Amino acid sequence: MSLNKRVIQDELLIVRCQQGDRQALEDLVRLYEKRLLYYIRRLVSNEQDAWNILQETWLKVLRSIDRLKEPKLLTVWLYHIARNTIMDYRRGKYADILRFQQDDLMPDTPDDAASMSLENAQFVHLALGQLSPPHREVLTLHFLEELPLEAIAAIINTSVGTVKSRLFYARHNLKKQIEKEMHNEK
Amino acid sequence: MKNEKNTLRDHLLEQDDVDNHAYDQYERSLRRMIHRKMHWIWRLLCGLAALGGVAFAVSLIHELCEPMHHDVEVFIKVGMGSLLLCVIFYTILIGVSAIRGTVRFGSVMPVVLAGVILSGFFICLWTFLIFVLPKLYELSQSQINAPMGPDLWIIGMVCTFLFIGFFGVLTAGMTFIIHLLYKHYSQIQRKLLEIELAIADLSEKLPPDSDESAGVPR
Repeated sequence: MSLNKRVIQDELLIVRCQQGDRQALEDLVRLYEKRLLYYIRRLVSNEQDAWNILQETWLKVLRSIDRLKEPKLLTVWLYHIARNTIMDYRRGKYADILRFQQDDLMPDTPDDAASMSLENAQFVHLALGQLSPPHREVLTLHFLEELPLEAIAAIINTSVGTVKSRLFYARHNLKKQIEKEMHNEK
Repeated sequence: MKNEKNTLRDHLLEQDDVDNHAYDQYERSLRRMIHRKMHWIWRLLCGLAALGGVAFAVSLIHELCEPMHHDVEVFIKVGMGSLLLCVIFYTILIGVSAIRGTVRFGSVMPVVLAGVILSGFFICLWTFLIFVLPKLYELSQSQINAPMGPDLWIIGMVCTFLFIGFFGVLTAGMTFIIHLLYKHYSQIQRKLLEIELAIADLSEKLPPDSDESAGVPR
């Protein structure tokens, strides 16, 4: 499906939700729940906590969906709410770790999401768990949604430069971890 | 075209093990949220409130049918009639919620806002008409010889009431109009998006070189 079509579908879904269409709400939940859960579980180790956070995220979404003025930003908005919910839940624990800053600008690197082979998904998944939370977070957003740097920056409340830098180091560390995992496998 | 089922994302999403019990719990809560299902305590409270509303409406109808033999009877009866309409509307709304066990989704905020404004206005009106106005009228009648006595009280109070009422109704009316405009706007937006989506669908189905084959110059 083209990006344009996906954006139109998201916009239509939001308009239907704002009109009070329950089916549209269910569709929205089904479309995003797995991705949001995967993102939450990368930042929260306990599964039960992750489900609770996801539930709380949907509650916030249902309460404030009428106020979403830019349906095009649906994905960013959803992840932003999920992240704020995680922060509320783990205030004082993750918040400090995620405030980690690395503002050095890094050179552009090829897109790893496209180059990662699908057979390596299991290694990517395992390696993600070995990264630091800030690196895990940007890479998860990058792999799940292939969002542009600006969108990731908007979700995690930081500058584009920081996101670029985190992605650079995160990819580098991920590659090292994958190699290690593969080596252990052999 | 990129196969949706074959992306790294889809493979990653399958990696996490899911606890079925936690998932069931989440699913039940989610369903309650989406369908706005009410807890039985809320249903009971709504049912009681609806019964109270019915009793209030019956007493108002009874009062309306009683002759008052009062100079300000028209004002009182018009106020009571308006209050009765308000009571019937909210009794039906709350009664239906209690019976169905769900809260109507969508447009909740404008309805609640208009309801709060109108209820406040009608309660003030009812208090004024039943308790304040007759008393003031009696006072003015007893001080009939005082300069501008009777007329000043009545005119002043009725003007104040009309002033408050005017703004109350104006606010409720504006809320309702904004709600209608928003509804109309979102329907137009939805139609436009449906058309856009249909166009995007069609352009996806067309082969990439269809323009050339149809002889359409690029």
